[in-house]
Amino acid sequence: MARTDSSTVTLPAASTERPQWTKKKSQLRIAWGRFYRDKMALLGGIMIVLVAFMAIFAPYLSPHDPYGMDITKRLRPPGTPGYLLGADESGRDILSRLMWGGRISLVTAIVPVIAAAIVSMVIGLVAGYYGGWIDQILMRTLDVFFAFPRIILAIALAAALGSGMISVMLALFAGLIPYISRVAYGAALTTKNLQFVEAARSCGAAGRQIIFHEILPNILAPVIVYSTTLTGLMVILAAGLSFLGLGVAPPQADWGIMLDGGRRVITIAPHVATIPGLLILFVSVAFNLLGDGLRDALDPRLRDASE
Amino acid sequence: MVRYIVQRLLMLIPILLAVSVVIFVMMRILPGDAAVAFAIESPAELEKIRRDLGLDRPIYVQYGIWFWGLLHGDLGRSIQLEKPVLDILLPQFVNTLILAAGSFMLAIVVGWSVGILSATKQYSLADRLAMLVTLFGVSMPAFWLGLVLMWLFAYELRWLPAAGMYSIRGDKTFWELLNHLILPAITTAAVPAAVIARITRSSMLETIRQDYIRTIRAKGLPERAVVFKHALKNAMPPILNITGLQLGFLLGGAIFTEVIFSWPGIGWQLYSSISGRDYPMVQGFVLLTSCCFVLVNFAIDILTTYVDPRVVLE
Repeated sequence: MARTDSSTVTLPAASTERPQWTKKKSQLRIAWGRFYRDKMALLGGIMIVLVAFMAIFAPYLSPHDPYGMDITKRLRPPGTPGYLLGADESGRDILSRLMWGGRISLVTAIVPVIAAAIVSMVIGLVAGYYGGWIDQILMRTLDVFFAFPRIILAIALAAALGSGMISVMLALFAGLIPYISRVAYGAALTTKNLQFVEAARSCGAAGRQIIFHEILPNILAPVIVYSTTLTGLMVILAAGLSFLGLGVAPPQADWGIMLDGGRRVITIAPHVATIPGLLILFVSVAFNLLGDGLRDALDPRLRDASE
Repeated sequence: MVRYIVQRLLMLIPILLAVSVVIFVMMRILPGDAAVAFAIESPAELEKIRRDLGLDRPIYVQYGIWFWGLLHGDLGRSIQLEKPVLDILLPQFVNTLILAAGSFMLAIVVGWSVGILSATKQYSLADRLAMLVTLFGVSMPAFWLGLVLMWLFAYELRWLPAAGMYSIRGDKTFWELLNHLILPAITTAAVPAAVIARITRSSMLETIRQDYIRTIRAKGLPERAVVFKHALKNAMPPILNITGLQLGFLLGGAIFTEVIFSWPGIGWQLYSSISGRDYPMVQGFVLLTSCCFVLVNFAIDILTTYVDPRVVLE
């Protein structure tokens, strides 16, 4: 997934051989500057904030009760007075359900990514820095999980854990760890052999110090970038699991369940399934834009190498 | 080369073993073991069924028995359908392969040509448009795309059938199948095609920028020869790698397609097995697809070394 407008090549921070660790602040500012100039990435960020805002303030913003059925309003098309996006198969307001559903859908997708990123960084750091048998055990164990297509792994885990929001989150979390760990591990390995780490070591820095002060800051960028891109996929996957009946149980609604409900009435009222799907697409595109933008801003060397 | 292939083949054994352990652990240790699926009320009866299924024995003995059966093609019996799992899955697996093969071909043709076109005409209108479309492609919830396609082409326009592999009354001809395959194949291929297009573009761009391409161009070779004969060849390894991976992901993505279009494959079966808590079926499904995935990855590795012999030397 590489956007290749060549705006970063000439920037000083991108072209210096040795990153300037001492000037932490200016590093961040440079990254922010690059990100801010990247209109598409900024757009992605704004899109996410917008949806998140809508979900967080659903209790105040939603025009109707998301679970309030009104059979007389059944399958009303978008634009019906009071029902901006129409009503679903039970006469519930789709806009309100989207807002409330966002609380479940976004949390289900984002929390596992954050948790998995943290755990993966620990795994990657430990395996990458210490090497030897710890490395072998950790990374070979994770290798096994690459034998499963991601969707299958999530489905198998969610099926084994039983349906519900927590089990979906656990399934996504477990399915993410091998992937993010590999990125963290790779970055840790590369960083470990750089000169400044050697310098720290020769100054007598302890292993823990080197891990947290020298290596960790340098694996953050690739992990954050990769995790952001994965978040979009997790929104889709979480909705997909709900769609298959492995997510939260109705009447509680997330976007996947709304889609599944709409599937049954697609012939007579296509808007019921189309609208939640569009929102999933919207959020997923947003995370991809943001991920690409973060990659170019935080670590221009990563561009073209991802995917 | 032969030595490398044999080496890689031998490496498959521990991988497949580990896969079987993971699947076994997932299905047995996690809550809701198979006996519960029978929904029996009295504890005594539950105990009896546990004993019949061997669930009261130590976990490694259970694994041993299960794995021994596996080697003999015994994946257990479906609780819902009361037939051996493999007998149910195999015929459906053929149907899934038909869908996967169709989608894969579509994804390759579209992905490669869009990627190459975009790379050779970088920053042109076509390139920008292609990148925008593929951005939506890689972000696409396939199950939604399937629903929209079905509504538009099957219900509104009535151009294509909405469900199944063949018409109920029609003959089972190849054209019938092809007609039913179009919408499911597009649905399944959309995301992989976009991913392939993007990686093809970036790999081609990287190659085209290299010095030897400039030399060939300076020699006066026609652009077509430069692109297809020289650039594409060297851009191929990463493209092949990602393309192959997509074949594995197709098997996963096909689940949603099969559910939406009632395609009688293993994903469609999985859907009813999940709702029926038919764990042996779910287990069999996961085992079958992950074995395929492992074998596909193996094939890609071999193919990659064929295209790029440097890999063997490393």
